[in-house]
Amino acid sequence: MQRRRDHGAKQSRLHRLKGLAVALTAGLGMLIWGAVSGTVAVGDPAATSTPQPVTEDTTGDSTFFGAQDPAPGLSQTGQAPMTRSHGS
Amino acid sequence: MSLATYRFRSMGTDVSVVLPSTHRREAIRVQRLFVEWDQRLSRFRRDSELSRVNAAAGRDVPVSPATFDVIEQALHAARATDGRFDPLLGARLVELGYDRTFAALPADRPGQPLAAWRPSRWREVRLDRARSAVRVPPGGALDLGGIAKGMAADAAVADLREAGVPYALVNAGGDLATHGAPPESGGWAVGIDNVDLAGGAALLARGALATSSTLGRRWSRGGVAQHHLLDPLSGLPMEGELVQVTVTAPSCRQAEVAAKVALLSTVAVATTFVLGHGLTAALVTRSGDQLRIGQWH
Repeated sequence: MQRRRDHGAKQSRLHRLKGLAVALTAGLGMLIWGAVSGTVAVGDPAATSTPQPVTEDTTGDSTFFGAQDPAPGLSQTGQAPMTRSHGS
Repeated sequence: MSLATYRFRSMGTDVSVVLPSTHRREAIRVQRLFVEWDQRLSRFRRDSELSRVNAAAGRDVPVSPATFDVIEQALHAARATDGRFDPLLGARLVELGYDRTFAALPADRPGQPLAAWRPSRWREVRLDRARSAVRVPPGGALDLGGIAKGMAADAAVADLREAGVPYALVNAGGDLATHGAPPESGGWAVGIDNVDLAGGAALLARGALATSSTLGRRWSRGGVAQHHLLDPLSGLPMEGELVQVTVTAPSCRQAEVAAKVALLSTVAVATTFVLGHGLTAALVTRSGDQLRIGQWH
């Protein structure tokens, strides 16, 4: 009876060890897969941080005031104004 | 061909369209365009796309491609000027009392203490082009007033060109965009408030012109004078050497941004900025001096 209980406990410990080994292997496998594929592992801070902007700025900042046409100049005129520009 | 001028109010300002008198129908198209832009981009309309974006600060809000484009251009302008043009000043304007259309604004607003100012939060605005969605940071609100008016003027003259109108000018509260010019006129005769010009006008042969001024749209807050153009660094109304800047540029969008950025600067920095971008400007200082920079003939 006692021998059967010892055998059962030994089997149970062996089972838990096997389970731990499987879990470790699986975890290691996920980490390797994550590193190779570029995916983010669960728990990585990057997975929960604020999303980054996805807008592509194809024009570039320096081009905001640039244009195909040069900027127009102004010339004095004796004409009466057709329209007015006041502050907005 | 005689010229006709059509006037209407939209986007909180007076809009006029000058074009050959035979093109009345196209002028009405321009009015419709402005009505649509106002419905989408006014921060004073609770049902506008802009108000929905601002009300949902911290969350993605899908918007129309046209609204997305204006917000994207405003952020582009902010990056290009290192934040001297800042489209995320809407919440601060409300805090300072400018919380309704200027026409409905009481002369004096209560002077509550202001929250601590955090500059450059426009960098936290997120755009998702694939979903045409916009997210402003919590506590922030977009105000696209000036650049939206300029872009509406640009869109209006582009529409008139496509419709076959030979020449036209659209003036949205002092922000002008042109397409062509009347035959043998040499350009459009434009008067500029507070700038003395021979004959009362300067000739704009093509492109666009915009004026920014701290002299208008003023109110009082707890007895202290306010105006609608804020210094993005301090979050308070600009109080620099310049009180008015007029700039010409290929597009009204560019002219509007350049005028605001120059207005925020000292005379020396504004001059360097205008010349550095090949623009032409008229500056008015606080003491009333007038300076002309760039291609004046």
